Amino acid sequence: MEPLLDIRNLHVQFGDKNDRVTVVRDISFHVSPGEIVGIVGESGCGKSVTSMSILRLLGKNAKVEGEVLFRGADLLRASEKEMRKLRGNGISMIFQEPMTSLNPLHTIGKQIAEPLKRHHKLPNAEVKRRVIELLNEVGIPRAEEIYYDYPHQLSGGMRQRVMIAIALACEPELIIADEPTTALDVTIQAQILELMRKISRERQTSFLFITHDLGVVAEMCDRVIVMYAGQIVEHREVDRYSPTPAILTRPDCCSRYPIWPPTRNG
Amino acid sequence: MTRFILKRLAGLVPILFGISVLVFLILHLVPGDPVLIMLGTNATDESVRVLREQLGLNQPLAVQYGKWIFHLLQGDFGTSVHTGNAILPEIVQRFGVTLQLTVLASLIGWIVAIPVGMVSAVKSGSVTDVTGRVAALLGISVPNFAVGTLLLLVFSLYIGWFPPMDFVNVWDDPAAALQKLILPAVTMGIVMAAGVMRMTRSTFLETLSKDFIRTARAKGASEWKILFAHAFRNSAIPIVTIAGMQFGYLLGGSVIVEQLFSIPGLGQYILDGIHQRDYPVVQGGVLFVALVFVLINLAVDIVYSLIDPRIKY
Repeated sequence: MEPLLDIRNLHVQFGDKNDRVTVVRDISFHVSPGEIVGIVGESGCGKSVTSMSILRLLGKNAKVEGEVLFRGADLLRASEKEMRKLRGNGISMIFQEPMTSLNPLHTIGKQIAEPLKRHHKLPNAEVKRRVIELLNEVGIPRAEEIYYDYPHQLSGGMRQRVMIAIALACEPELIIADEPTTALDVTIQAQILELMRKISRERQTSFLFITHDLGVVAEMCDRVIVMYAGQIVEHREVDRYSPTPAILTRPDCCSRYPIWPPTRNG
Repeated sequence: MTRFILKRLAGLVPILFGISVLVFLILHLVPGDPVLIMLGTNATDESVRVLREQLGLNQPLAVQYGKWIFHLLQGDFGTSVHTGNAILPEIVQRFGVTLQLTVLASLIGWIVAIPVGMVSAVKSGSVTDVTGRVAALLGISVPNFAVGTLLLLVFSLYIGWFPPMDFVNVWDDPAAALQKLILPAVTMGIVMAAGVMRMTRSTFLETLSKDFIRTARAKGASEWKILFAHAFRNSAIPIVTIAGMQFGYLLGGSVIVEQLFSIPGLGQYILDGIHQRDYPVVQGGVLFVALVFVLINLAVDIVYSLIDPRIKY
C-alpha cells in the first residue's frame, strides 16, 4: 500500500551557521493509511521536533532537510500558503498540554469552529451544528452549554477532548498526537486513548503517536519507532505479548528508567 | 459587577479623606504666607492681621480643616484667596481643557506605539525591531520639556505652521483647537508612546511564544489571524494597565507641557495656586485630580473583565 506519510532522511538542526546543533539525524519511516505508529524515546531525543517538523511548525532557527512526503508531495518544498491549507485540514495535531494549548479568551465553540471556517468556509449555522456534533463525538456531555464555555471552566481531560475535536474538525487523514496523555491522570488517560482508538477504527484516520510511555505504545500502536539521541535505534511491529522494544531491555538503557519500588540507596 | 463597582466607590471615601488631610497639612507646612504674598512685603502689620482674620487663617489648623471639609461635603470648594473666584467651576472648566489635550496625546501615543510594538515583537531581532526599540528608549529618556521646546522652535518659530494663539475648545472651533493642541499633544504622546510601545513589544513576545499560538498555527491560521485574533486580546491587559495609568496621570494636568505651550489646563491652575499659596485652590485641585485618577483605575479594572472572561468581580 502507498504510504500516507513517508519521511526520508530527515535532518533537523538548530542554531545559526557558527553554532549549529543537530537534533534529528537521518530519520526515515512511514505511516500507512489507517495505521497507528508510535514514536517512543526519552526526553530530548527528538520525538517532538520530528513531529513538529512534519507540519513545519518549528521556529525560524530550525533547519530541516530531507523529504517529508504526504500523499506523495514533499511538504518541505511546499509554499507557506500550501502548508497553511494543509494544517488542521489534511494533517492536524494534538499537543501535550491541554491546559495551555487552548486560547484562554475564546469560547470552546469558537476554537473548534476555527479550522472549519478556515478550511471549509461553511455558513455559521452549519459550523455550529458541526461543532456540537464534534463535541458529542469526543464524548463531551452538555455540548450545547460547553459550546459557550471558556477553557478555564473545563478539566484537563475535557480540554484534551476539545483539542481532539479541533484536530478532527476537518476530518484529516493523519493526526499527529504529541504526548496527548502525558499531562492527564491515569483514568482520564485511558479514556482519551480509547477515544483515539475509536476514531482511528471508525474513520480510518492514521495516527503518529508520540509518547514516552511504553504501556501506551503497547495498547495503541501497530508499529513502534524507538528514538535515542536524534536517531532511530529500533523500528518494529508491536507485539502485544512482549511489548518492550529490545533496546529498552538492555541494562544500560533500563537504568535510565525509574525503578519501582525505589530502593533505599537510590 | 455592580457590587464590585459600589465597593470600589465606597473605597474612595477613605482614600480621598487621607489625601485631603495630607494635602492640607503639607500645604500649611510649606513656608510662605498667602497674606504676605497678596499684600506685598511692605504691608502694615494691621492690614496683614485683618486680612488673615478675614480668610480665617488665624484659626487653629484643625478648625480650618474642619471648615474646609464641611463646606466640601456640601459641594462647596470655596473661593480662591487670590482672585476671589469660585474654585469648582474653574477646576471643571480647566479639566475640560486638560481632558482634550490628554485624549489627543493618548490617541497619538497609542496609534504609534501599539503597531510599532507589535511589529517589533513579530520581527524581534531585526533592524525594524532595533530601530523601534531605540526610538522608544529615546522617547523615555528625553525629558518632555526638551521635546516640547524643540517642537515649538521648529514648527512654530522656524516653519510657522503653528503660530502662537489663544486656546479654544474643540467643540467651539475644532480646526483652531487642533492647531493649538497638536504640538503639546505630540510632546506628551511621545513619552506615552515610548512606555506603551515597550510594554506592547514585551507582552506580544511573551504571548506569541504561548502554546495556544502554536495550536492556532497548527489549525492553519494565517499570521495576521494569529496576531489579531489570538495574540492581541491575550496581550491587552498589561498594555491597558500602563495606558490607563498614563492617561490618569496626564489628566492630573501636565504642568510642564501646559506651561510651555501656555495652555490653561488643570496643571497650570494648581501650579499657580502653589505659587500664591492659594490654599483652597491647591487643596481642591489635588483632591479633584485624585478622584479622577481613582476613577480611571476603576475603569481600567472594569475593562480587564471585558477582556478576560477569567476575571470576575
